[in-house]
Amino acid sequence: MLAREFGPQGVEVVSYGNSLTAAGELRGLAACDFTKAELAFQDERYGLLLGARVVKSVSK
Amino acid sequence: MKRHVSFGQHSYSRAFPADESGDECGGEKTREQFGRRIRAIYHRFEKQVPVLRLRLGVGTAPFADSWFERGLPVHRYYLEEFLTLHAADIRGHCLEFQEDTYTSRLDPPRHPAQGQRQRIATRDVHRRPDKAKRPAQRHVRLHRLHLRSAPGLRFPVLHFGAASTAPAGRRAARRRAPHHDLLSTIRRVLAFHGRGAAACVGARIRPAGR
Repeated sequence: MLAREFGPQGVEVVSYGNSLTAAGELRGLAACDFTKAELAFQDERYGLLLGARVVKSVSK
Repeated sequence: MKRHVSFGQHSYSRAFPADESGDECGGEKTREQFGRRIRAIYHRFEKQVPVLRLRLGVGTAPFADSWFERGLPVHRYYLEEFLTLHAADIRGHCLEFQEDTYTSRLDPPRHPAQGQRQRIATRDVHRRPDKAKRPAQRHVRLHRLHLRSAPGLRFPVLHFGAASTAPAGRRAARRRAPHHDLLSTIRRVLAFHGRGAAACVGARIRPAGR
């Protein structure tokens, strides 16, 4: 969706989270309830948050 | 003939052989043995695993009713990780919804004159007019926006997530999807500033009507 608006070169999308942290977020757990290894494991299938960095191209 | 059922690294049939009645699944006696074995495994690990994590799969009530009640929410942890990774991009003209928490932290003002922040906005996001008393009033939702800029520049008032509803008794005339509003806002910010990238942080989209 962002690539359609801003062009594919300027879009960088990163997925954060995994199924455990996603389930914990739904159940009201906080980041301190997980270990750093659990928080650092990124599973794109069960991403909790998507971070996008979008740069507008000069030509547009 | 015994049925060989794999249970982890152990063999179910070896651990719980079929009883004399010939029931391949082991019958009541085997089920009791299986339950005892499971309880023994549970009690062995009970002290090693935090109780909270064990309760993760039990019950329906959440552990906290609101965010920040137990501490930093997980999505904020990831958000801060992402913003810290791209902290170099957060400079110049920044737009942050609601409070200016992250722009202040990640891009502190280098000069007193550059630290000016304009709070563009606006109205109570959650208040909804009583349709019965004021049927003709239109409902407009606005989010608070923060624009950070160099002094002397003027910014337009940006309306994010504006939803207009028809008078009472009629359905919403037009309700745009939240992601459409977000894209529209980003596009307007980029179009206005016209140079480089605008950092848009801390967006929390609420569905219309809440």
